[in-house]
Amino acid sequence: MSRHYPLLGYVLRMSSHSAIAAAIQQHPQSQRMQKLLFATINKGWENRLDVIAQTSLEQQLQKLTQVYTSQEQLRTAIFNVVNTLNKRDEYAALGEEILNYLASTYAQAEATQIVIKPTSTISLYPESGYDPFAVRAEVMKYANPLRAKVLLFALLDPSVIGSEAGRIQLRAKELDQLLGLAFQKFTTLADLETHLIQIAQTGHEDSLQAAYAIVRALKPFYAQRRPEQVVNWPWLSNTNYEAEDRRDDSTYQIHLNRP
Amino acid sequence: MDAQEIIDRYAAGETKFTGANLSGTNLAEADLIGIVLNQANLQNTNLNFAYLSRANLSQTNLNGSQLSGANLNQAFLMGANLHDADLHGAMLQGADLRSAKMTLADLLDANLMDADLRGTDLSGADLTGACLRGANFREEKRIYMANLRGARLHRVDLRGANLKGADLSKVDLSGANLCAATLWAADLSGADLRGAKLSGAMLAEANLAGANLSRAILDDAKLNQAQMAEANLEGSSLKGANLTDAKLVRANLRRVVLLEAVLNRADLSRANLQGANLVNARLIEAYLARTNLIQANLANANLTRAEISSANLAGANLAGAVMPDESIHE
Repeated sequence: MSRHYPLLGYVLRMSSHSAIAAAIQQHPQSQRMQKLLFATINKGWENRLDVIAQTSLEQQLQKLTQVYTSQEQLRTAIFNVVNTLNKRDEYAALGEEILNYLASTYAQAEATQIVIKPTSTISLYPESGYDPFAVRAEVMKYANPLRAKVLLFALLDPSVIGSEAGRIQLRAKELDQLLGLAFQKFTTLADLETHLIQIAQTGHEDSLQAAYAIVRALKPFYAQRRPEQVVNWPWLSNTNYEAEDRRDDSTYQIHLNRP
Repeated sequence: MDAQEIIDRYAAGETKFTGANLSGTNLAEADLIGIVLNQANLQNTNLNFAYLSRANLSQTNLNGSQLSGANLNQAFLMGANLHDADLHGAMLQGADLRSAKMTLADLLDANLMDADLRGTDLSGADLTGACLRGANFREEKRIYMANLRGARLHRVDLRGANLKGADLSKVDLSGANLCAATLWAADLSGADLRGAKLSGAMLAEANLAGANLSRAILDDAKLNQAQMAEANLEGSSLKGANLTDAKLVRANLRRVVLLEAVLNRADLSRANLQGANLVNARLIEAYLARTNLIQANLANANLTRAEISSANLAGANLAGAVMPDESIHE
């Protein structure tokens, strides 16, 4: 019995790259966008615009879509760069703009793909069922895992907010469990988002990024879920987990008030 | 040097602090992106939530340091000493950790995606819930391998990882994601793989003797010539798995799903397959001496030239099965 693997055959329309290049050049933050684009392709930050201009923007876009054959891959690559920058929030917004511009290019590509699904799908977003590993990876790509945990703890037990002497056992639950508990508690994405943002806004600035990362990661699973569906997974409670072996958490508390 | 001094000097634009002594100082939440602190002494330093992306910390002493929630994305940590360091929820994406000493380090829920772990010593480290997708564990010539002996890898994400020939004997990999991972000739003897996801994993010639694989998912896994003597696979799923020439002597395969699995020439002597599902399985020349097949479902299975003369087939379903003499059971 042979196994088939996805075959990809697609053609990108060249004219759309020149249109996108023009749009980027006319953008008010054009220089920053070009630097971000350059860094994503070349994996090294370049401040000098004359060096960046040595390759035409259209060529850079073509190279980008050749190297990153899916929007997800491109998103990962862009945010790998964004996460190392000082003005992270500003560049994150520009990263989203670049992804928006290129969205139609990828949509065309996907429409012409020939895919033979393997019998055991290892896709990032499976058609049925919740994939805790996929959710975790998505959150970790765009947010600080510990900030995400702090935020989720506060989401699930609002009484910890503002408690200065709280010995919150952040090690008592894994990130997976916290994400699963959040998904279980909030039956719609809108509900989850509202509560997350509300709490994140009272916390450290990185908490907001964590909030958005959590929403993004859980979005596909909310899409498949009916609000009345009750989620009850055994792994949400600790099974073979020895919390006593862990270090004491008293060295840091949940700082949910801005310094 | 004290914490305030380095923060002030860094803010003024200075970045090179090679060999600095900041042992025991409090640099929690400090912005030190791209700082050069190689060969420095940061023993027991508090760097919780510090920003250290692309920092040069190679050969730095970070023994016992607190780095929980620290951002070390793309940082250079070659040869660094991170023994007993606290890296709970830390970001180490794309970090260069070659030959770093991370023995007994706490890496709970850490992000190690795309990290370079060649020659990294992670023995005894706790990697529960960590994400290691895309991490590099080995050199082709196997001389530069990550050391994972005694590491805790419970629910770790190792999807697609290349762990060819890795020594994972007795390691806790329960609930881990090893889908499509390469574990060719890996030593997983006595490993805890309960509930692990191993769909499509390459386990040919792997040593799984005495390993605990109960409730594991091994659909489409390649287990050719794998050594699985006395392994516990109770309740696991092996749909479409390839176990050609595998050794399953005395293995526990109760209620295992072997639907469409290939077990040609497999040694199942004394194995327990009570209640197992072998519908459409291929067992050509399989060795089933004293195998327990009580109430097993062998409908449409192919037992051509299989040795079943001493197997226990009480209550087994053989409807449509091809028998050893190539006749078809009704």
